[in-house]
Amino acid sequence: MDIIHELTRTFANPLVLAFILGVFASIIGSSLKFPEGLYVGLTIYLLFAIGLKGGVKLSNISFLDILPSVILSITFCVLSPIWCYWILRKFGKLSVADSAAIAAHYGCVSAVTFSACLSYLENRNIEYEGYMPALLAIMEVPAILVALYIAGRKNAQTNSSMKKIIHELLTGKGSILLLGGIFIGLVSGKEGYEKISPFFDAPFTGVLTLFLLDAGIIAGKKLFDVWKSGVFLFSFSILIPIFHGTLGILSAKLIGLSSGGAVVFGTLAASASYIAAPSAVRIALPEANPSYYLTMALAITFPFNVTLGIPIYYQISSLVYGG
Amino acid sequence: MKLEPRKLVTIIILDSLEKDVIDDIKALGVKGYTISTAQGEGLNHTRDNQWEGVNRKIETIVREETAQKIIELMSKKYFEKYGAIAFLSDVYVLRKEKF
Repeated sequence: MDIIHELTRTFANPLVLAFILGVFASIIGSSLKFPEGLYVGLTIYLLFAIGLKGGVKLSNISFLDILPSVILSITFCVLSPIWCYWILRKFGKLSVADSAAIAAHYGCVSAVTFSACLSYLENRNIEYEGYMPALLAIMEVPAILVALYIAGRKNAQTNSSMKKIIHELLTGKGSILLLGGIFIGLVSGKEGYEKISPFFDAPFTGVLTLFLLDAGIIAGKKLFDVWKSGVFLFSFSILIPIFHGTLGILSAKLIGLSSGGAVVFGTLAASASYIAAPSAVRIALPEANPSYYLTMALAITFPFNVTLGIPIYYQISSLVYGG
Repeated sequence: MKLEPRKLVTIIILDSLEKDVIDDIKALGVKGYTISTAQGEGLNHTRDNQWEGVNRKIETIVREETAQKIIELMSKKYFEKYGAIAFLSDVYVLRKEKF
């Protein structure tokens, strides 16, 4: 495997370059900024398109086939915030609220990292299980609940009742668009989807590219916070994704996913949420410091995953699957 | 035409708390309000993009008693934990029965 060739291929990708452009624009103090409506529009498009496509692919798979993956996803999302919390408390000496907030982000998943991974695999013509978006939807919720539960038990001041938080998560933008999209795709099937596919297939990667440009602008603004976050949190934001990714790939092999599917699941496990988790944590754990959890998830882990992480998970999967 | 004095209450708070605040002030008898998106910088945090959340500015014109109750509620429930501010100003209105 030619590492330099692989790296060039990774960075000579419009998705990654758009992100880097955003960071650059931010650093030189450019006035470039996305209007609020555009950000909301892009996320709605992306989440709904991911859901729809997943739903269509799900329409010819039996529930029993995906059951092991569903169980694995839930198990991972319940356990990962526990060890993240433990590491942050024990080695990072962070407060209960901060540890729980960060644990919620790293147990939860990122839809955009997920999409970047699918486009990485599609570029290389690698097959993966079509029902992955369903796992993405499932993995949005449990870790946040577990982390908030830990915070509540440790007497951190949690502000909302569990019931309210669950309602918030299930009725939030992410869940409605993903689950709704999956449902519509599932019911209308391939034939129904063909009518709308020109709108959701061809422009998808382009929209994702624009979204990454915006992500880059914000990440660039937070670079200074990255510097301030310290060695421990910086290492956590890189090493935990690699650990989660490797664990994800190994367990995916164990339950018999394809090697492409293992890369996707590994990437899901490695990703950290920056849409669902921050909005839940902002309300439920107001005393947790956003400049920790947002900086880590958005300005360190996310760019790491999109540039180096996904190729690394791909290599790990190739090793594990002996290909 | 006679203008009547009323209080304008302005609340600036995290977008994610918009619904909570609206429910709370309605429970105090507020009949109408205006919401707009706001961005800015304060002691807590810069809030000027969707990723980190923006602020909402909630404005409502009420009688003085209600205005007092709103400020008390904000102080008890929101000021300590969240980046939030609220303040009163004097305004004059026609059609006082609306407010």
